Amino acid sequence: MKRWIIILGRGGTVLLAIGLALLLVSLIPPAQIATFGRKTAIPPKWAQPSIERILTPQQGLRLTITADGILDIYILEVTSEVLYQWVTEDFLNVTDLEDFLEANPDVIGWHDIVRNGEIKHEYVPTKVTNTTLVFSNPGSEYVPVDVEVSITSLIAPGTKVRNLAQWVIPIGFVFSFPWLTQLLKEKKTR
Amino acid sequence: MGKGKPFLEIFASALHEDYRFPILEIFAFLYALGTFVFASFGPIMTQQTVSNESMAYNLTASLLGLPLFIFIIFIFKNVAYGLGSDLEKGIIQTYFSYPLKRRGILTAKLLSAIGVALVLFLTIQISALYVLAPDIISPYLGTVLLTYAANLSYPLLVAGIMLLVTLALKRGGLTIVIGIVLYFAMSIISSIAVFVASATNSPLALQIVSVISPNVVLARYYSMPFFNELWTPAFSDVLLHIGTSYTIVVFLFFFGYFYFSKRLGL
Repeated sequence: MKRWIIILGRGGTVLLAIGLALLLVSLIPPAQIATFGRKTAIPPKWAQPSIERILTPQQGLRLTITADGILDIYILEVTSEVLYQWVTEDFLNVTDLEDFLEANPDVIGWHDIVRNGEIKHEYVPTKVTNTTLVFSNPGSEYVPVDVEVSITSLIAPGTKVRNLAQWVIPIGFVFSFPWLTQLLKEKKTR
Repeated sequence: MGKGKPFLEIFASALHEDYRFPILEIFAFLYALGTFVFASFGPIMTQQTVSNESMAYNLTASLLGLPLFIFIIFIFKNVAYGLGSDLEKGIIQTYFSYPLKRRGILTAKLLSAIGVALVLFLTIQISALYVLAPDIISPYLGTVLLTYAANLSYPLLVAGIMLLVTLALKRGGLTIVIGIVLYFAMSIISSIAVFVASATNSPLALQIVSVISPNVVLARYYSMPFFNELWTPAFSDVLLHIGTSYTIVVFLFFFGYFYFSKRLGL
């Protein structure tokens, strides 16, 4: 058998093994370690920090948010204490938050807008960080919001690892295919 | 025939012997799986208590339990059985007829036994760490590599001793037992050193152990100051101990090369 076929083939089988390990890791479901809910109403032009937590790449937040109105939702990688340093009135308003985000765009872990409905999201940071869930109501009416948060413990970020496995396994298979077929042929002729 | 070709021939043959299908694949699978399963960010109380650099160290050190042991078994098997059985079966004697110096033959064998395993181990673990926590690993890659350097020094030292014993006995069975005993002996010696250091109120015992196993000094450097009343090493101490330990490793391998070239009696 040609040497380059062997080297490529063994490289391929190693990639296959790594891919299978990644796939296995991604299939391990995250464990819920705590769940809590909160019902509140966000006043017009207010930005309200809600839930605060230190997270690691092995700890995530699973959010289910229902709002009767239009609401900006952020996960910011800072404590609420930092946000309150930007307060210009008695409370954190939408402009304060916008000013803060303009000055610190790198702290936005996630942002979405909910419009009279439900939104679900799973957030896992890429470092050990403080995280604060913030609601911002740019409208002129109170927006009732129902938040359900679960803290999950996971071995690895599932989607990322699964995506990687989906690339690594086919590449490994393509590399190892010529070697494996030749190996089978040799065994048959013996 | 040029010098490169016999070297590659011996290297390829050693690779074939050391990494028979599916041994390499099983180890790759275990390294990848072990990295995620054993990764731990330690107890996080407030972010201010632990610096990101310490976190990079803690995360890397958390992986070096079972995956490192798997790696050690892998290289011990390669050094003891790979080289030992070649000496026993007379394969090494056949290699001596190749137009290649003896040190070239040993380099090809060690490159396969230790080099390839080391590259595989580090590549898989660091890549998996990067997937898990890119914002910790990227800025502190130096800390990650230093942690690996400190933790791999003692296994490489034992591998050097095993090389000498294998060459002296010309077989590998007993050598692997000696290697595993030496590896576990270090954890006992480290515990005794901590006890002696506390009893004598002097860090000398810890400093001596750190010369052979520099992960002791690195762990002290990154642990919280109140755990380190006895000895708070500076970064230069860490580098000094790691440097000294690798000097011993290099000396052992150099002695192995000398023995293989001049004193093997074959």
